[in-house]
Amino acid sequence: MKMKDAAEVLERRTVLDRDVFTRPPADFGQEDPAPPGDDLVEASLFDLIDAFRRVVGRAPADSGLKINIETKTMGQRVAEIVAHLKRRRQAAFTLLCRDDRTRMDLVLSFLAVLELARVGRLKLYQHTATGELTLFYVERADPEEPEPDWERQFGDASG
Amino acid sequence: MNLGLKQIIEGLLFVSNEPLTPKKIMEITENASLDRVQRVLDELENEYEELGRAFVLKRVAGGYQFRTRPELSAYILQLKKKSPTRLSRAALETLAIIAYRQPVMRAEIEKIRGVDVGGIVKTLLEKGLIRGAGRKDLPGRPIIYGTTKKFLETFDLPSLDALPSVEEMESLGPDDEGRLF
Repeated sequence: MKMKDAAEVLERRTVLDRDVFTRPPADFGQEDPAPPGDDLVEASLFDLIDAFRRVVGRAPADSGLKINIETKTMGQRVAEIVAHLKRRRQAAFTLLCRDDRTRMDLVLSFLAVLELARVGRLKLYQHTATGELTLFYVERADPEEPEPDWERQFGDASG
Repeated sequence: MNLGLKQIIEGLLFVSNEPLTPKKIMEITENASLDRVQRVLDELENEYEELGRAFVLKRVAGGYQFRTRPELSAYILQLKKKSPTRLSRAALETLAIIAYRQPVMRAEIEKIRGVDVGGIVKTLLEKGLIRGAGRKDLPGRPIIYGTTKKFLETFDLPSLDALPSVEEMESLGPDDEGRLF
C-alpha cells in the first residue's frame, strides 16, 4: 500500500468545511467563531493586549470600584480556562471574559490566557474582519504527562 | 402539538454542535431503548436522503449529524466568505500514515516519508486531528500518535473501519515508493 494513495483517499473524501458543512456551534447564546481558516490569522501578544483593552473599555464604569471578596486565584482561573477549552476546543476572548465582574477578574483572565499561550496550551488567532481574538486549545503531545496542578502553581499569586 | 420520539430526536440533532450518539440520545429521552433510538435514527437517515433536501443526516464519528450536501459547497463557501479547509500534501501523507498505522511513533512516520515530520505533527496536533496516544516501551519512551474524533468528523467517517482496507488500497496499483505496509 502506498503512502501517496492513502493520502489521496483522505483528499478525495467529502471534507468538513470544504465539501460539507454543519450548523454553526449552537450553545444557547455562547456561540464561538469558526475554527482556524483563511479568515483567521495568528495573533501576537500585542493583539492580546489590544483585545484586553477593548474588554476593559467595555466593562461598566463602576466595576473597578467594587471590592470582590470572592476573587479567584490565578491558578483557579487558569484551570477554568483549560477546562473550558478542553470541552469546547476554542473560545472567543470576549466571551471568556463575559462573566468577569471586576477589573481584577479581567486582569486575571488576561494573565491566565497569557500564561497558557506561553506554555503552549493554547494558540491565539485573530479574525481578519472583526479583530475578534479566539483561543484554540492545543492537545498535550504527551498524554501521560499529568495535568499541572494549576491552583498549586499559581495559588498564592493573586488570592 | 403532541411530539413523538422522532421529532424529539430530530430536534436534538438540529441543535447539537457535534455528532450525537444513540447512547446520548437514549440518556436524554430516558424512556426509549437503544434499539428504538437506533431505529428512529435509521428512519430519519433514510427520510432525509429520500427527501432530496439540502442537508442529510450522516453517520459521523460514532454519532449522527446533519450535514449539507457536497453539491452545495461552492454556494456555502461564498456565504461564509472563506476558503475551504485544506491540508498540504505533506500533512495529508503524514495523517494517512498515522490513520493506517496507529499507534505510530514519529520515527516510524519519518522512515516511511523519508523526511522530518516534527513541524507537521505539531500542526496536526494543533488542529486536533491527531493526539498523543501513549508512549512506546522503548529506550527514551517515544510518544505514539493516533487519530482523534475530530479526524473522523473532518473526513466524514463513521469510524476508522470506514477507511478503505489495505487490500482495497493494493488494487490501486504497484509502486514500492513510500510503502505503508
